Amino acid sequence: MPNYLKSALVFIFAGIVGGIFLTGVNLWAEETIEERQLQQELAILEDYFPGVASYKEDEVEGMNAQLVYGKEKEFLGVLMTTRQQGYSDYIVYQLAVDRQGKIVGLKVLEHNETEDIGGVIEEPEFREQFLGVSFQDTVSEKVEVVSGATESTRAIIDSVEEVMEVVEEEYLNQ
Amino acid sequence: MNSVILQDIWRGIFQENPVFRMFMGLCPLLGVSAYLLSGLSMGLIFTGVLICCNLIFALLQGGIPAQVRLPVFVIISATLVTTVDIILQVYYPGMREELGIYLLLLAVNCVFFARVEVFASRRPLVRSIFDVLGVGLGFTIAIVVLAGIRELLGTGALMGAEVFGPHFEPIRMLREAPGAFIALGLLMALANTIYRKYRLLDDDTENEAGEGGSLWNS
Amino acid sequence: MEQLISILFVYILIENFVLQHFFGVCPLLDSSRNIENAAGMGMATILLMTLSTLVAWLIYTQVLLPLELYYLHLLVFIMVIAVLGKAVETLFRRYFPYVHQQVRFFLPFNCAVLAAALLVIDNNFTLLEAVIFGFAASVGFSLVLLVMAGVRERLAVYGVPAVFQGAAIILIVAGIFSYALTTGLGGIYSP
Repeated sequence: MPNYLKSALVFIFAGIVGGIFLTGVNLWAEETIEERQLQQELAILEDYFPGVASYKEDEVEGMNAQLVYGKEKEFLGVLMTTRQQGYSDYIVYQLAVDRQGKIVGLKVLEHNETEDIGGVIEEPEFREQFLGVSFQDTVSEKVEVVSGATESTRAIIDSVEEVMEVVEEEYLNQ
Repeated sequence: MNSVILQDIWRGIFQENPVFRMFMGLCPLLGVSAYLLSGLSMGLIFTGVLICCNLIFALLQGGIPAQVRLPVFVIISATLVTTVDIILQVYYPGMREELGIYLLLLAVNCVFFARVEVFASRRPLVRSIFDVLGVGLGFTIAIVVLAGIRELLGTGALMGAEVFGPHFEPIRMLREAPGAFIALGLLMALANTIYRKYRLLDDDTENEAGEGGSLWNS
Repeated sequence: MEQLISILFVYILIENFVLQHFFGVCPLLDSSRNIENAAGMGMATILLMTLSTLVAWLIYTQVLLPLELYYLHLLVFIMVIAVLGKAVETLFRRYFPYVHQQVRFFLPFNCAVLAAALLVIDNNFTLLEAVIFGFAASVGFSLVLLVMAGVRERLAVYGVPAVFQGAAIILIVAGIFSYALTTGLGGIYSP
């Protein structure tokens, strides 16, 4: 057998042995890691939906949705993660809606807006206006655009309106 | 026997210090030295992985054709590093986030040492382990010193405990990339001074980077 | 298109592999002695890194993800890069022998190329983005190498204090480059 080929075979063999070993290690570790990730996700959801026991992931209209269920598998609500073009770049935020179609939380995850101006969308004063807004309301009537940061805040308001429509259509009939 | 082992270890720390003499493993060194704790962890992990790699490889040495030794060693270190990565994910996920990609880069760095220790030296298994232990300790000392300085002067705290009072103005640059380079450069100069002063080198190794590390040549 | 240009710009200058993330420091010390060395190493790295990011992306999305073998990524990437590195070296030895002599060829065992492959995963690139990323990162690396080589040639003439000879001065110079990049260009990018 030519030297070249022999070397290649040893190489590949060693790779396979390594791979098998790693598969073993991974199997051992998998459960613990997955369990921990689940706990972390649930902790985040707990903030908006106390008593959450499990959740299911879904994707609709380009948004990421997490349907939240309680201990008796009753539907508690949904957490939508979506992105919207803001003033300078995309804004990524989360909207939590309970099963009656009322907003129970809004959180901005990522944005590139100017800190002191568009950054107001992160402020509690702005976000709190969304709480309690129902799918039957018109969002722009309940939440005020912040002057000086019109584009950023308008973007969020319009986006929330759209998200609420999707939520109403897809999830509120549970 | 004892003194020979000590000599091996001593050599790894001083004459063959991976950072200050051989200029190796600088990626993980610079990348993880922002905080003392991360630096220490990286150093210890590096030492551990190095020793294990060496052990496994020395055991397998006989059965592997010369041509493919290096690649096989690479596979061994990659497997080992991935194992450490997974173990960290289970027990110390926070530290694993800190170390991030630099942990994985250890796989590449280990290979260099193998070339020197296992190929060139051909020492019996036990002694090569201590060789490598010394090298690992040398690296750990280097990274701990660097990280200590960077954290101390960069944030005014060491391992989270405030050392200087509230009037201390931290040198912000030390926490970021440029500071790391400069701090390490100055540290190297300091190391050079110490080496020269205590004559820990042979005279002809005091030359430019790359020449002193003649292990680059196959 | 905008996104691609942005990637180019960012990874060559702002998130420069060497000066910001410390990835190419290993060969920096070694191959920046003079401009020929640097140019040769740069070219080889550009070739290798672009190829590697391409192959890494392909393997990751077509093999590792579907089969849920994520944990094998380091092992597989290292093997692939070793093979590619060997291939590039052979290529250079046949067609560019002058360069091959100039450059100390142990590209495969370079932090930078592996780092590029790993980052391709972290960043969720599309195929085109991944290739551009590899190209940009290696260009950034080569840029630093070249400038460093120029500086070193000068320094060789002017002389360096004995204690700073070798790695020390290179690191300090690199630190100054890094500072120029982060401070000078940082304002353009971050919000």
